[in-house]
Amino acid sequence: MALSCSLNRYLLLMAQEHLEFRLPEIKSLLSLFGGQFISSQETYGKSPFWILSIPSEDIARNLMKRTVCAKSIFELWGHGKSPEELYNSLKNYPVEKMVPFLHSDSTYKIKIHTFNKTLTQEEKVKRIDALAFLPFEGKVNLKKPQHIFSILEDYGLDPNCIPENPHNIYFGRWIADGQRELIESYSVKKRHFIGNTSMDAGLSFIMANHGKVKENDIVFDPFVGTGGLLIASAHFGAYVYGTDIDYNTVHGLGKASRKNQKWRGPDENIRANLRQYGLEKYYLDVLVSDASKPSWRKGTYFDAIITDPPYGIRESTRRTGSQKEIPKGMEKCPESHVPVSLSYHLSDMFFDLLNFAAETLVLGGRLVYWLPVYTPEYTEEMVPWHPCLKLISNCEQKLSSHTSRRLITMEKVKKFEALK
Amino acid sequence: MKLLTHNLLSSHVRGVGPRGFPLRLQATEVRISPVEFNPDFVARMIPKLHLVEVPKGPIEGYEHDEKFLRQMHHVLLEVDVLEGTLQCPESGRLFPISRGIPNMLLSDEETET
Repeated sequence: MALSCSLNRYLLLMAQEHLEFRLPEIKSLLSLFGGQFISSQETYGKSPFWILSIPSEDIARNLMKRTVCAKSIFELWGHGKSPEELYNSLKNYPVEKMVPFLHSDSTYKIKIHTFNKTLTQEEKVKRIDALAFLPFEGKVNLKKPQHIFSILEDYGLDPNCIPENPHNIYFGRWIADGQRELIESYSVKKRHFIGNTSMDAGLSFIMANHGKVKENDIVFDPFVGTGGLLIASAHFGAYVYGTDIDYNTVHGLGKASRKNQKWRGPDENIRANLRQYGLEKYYLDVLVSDASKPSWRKGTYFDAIITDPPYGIRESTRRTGSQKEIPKGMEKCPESHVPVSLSYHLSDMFFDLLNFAAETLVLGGRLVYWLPVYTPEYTEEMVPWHPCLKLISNCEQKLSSHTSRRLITMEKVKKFEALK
Repeated sequence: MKLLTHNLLSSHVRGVGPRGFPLRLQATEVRISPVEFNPDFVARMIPKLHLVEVPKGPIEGYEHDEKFLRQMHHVLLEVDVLEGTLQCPESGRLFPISRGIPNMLLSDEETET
């Protein structure tokens, strides 16, 4: 009989979207709260069930206050590949750890979730009744129980091939849900000020989490556009700066990006976006500035740089240039108050960005940015590197059959020394 | 533009280097916008500032001096320059501030190589 070592083991129930982004998000958040990612599971792949060891319930709760990739977390009491294995596993869970939640003064309820299969009410009741051997002494309260326990049955991922019996069954005490509701409440559909390339709310929170943003941080977006990425950081308590080369976008002027709307209204600018969510106090400033020619005094000011640089597909990639470089026939852009516009070679832009991050991030600070990729030619060597920055994660999001973008997260591990 | 930002900006006109700080601020329209006082954030910002006129720097234990932090909070975060200019102290080049937003754009000829 195997000794089931159930000290501080938790079950994370993950959402089945942005699959590659989930593990880096959880790892980043655990390290933010002083935990470390420890798991006996070898790979997670596509499964929504993750078993982790977390040092304390406090850390688990802090994790759930931030994650948009995880739906819920449970204190894992037992699991197995069959009901018998589950029951054995539960019998091996130390009774002294169960008792605080089962005593006669408390109220509880048991829920059952099945994944990729529907059970009848009768089948569900049978499974709950089978757990009668557990020392539950409290009263059942279906409306407002003090403790909620869950049975989770995993019937795989293929809706066209549903097995008779589950692959895995888990039983645990529900601790907390994640922040997936932020995705709806911060939806771009409801936002006052949007642009052509405003980031999907879920991804903007994932980026803030990859960036380990925390309260009282300063977060900077050098290609701020309409400020969507700043909103996520401000929601987590960071104070925010943004710059953009486009005068109109920064000022909230010009043509609207919404269908059926011609011009932007007076309430459409970055500050107004933050105000919409009650986050105006985190607005520091936005500036019209060329990211390749920054105006910051020498020093390390930023705890995180989180950005979505222009790819040259929907927003044009621009940089200020000199008079003599204008190709014949190219006009000046009166709207944007830029003397001249040049196309900015993509790899120069990333070189500048990494260099800028190495110079201005605090030690341990993170750079999180999207790298556009032509999939048939992509190799890992193409990911920009810098001696002061360590690559933390590289997550792909497919855009079309030949293109994707990769969310690159880097951490400053070495002080920047300018070349003499 | 907040005065905290003013303290972090420097002229990047070619050849100017560290003499590009501080930019000379001329404000023609200023607004005082109340911002919720957060002593931890203000205390974090103090070491990042370059206080040109204060040779000794802040007194030890400033992190717990609420009066001092409230004063700094007001000056750094609640004074908003809506219209004005920032001027490079070395080259004289002007950067306009309009609707509270500075425009730091320069042409290629004007900036550092």
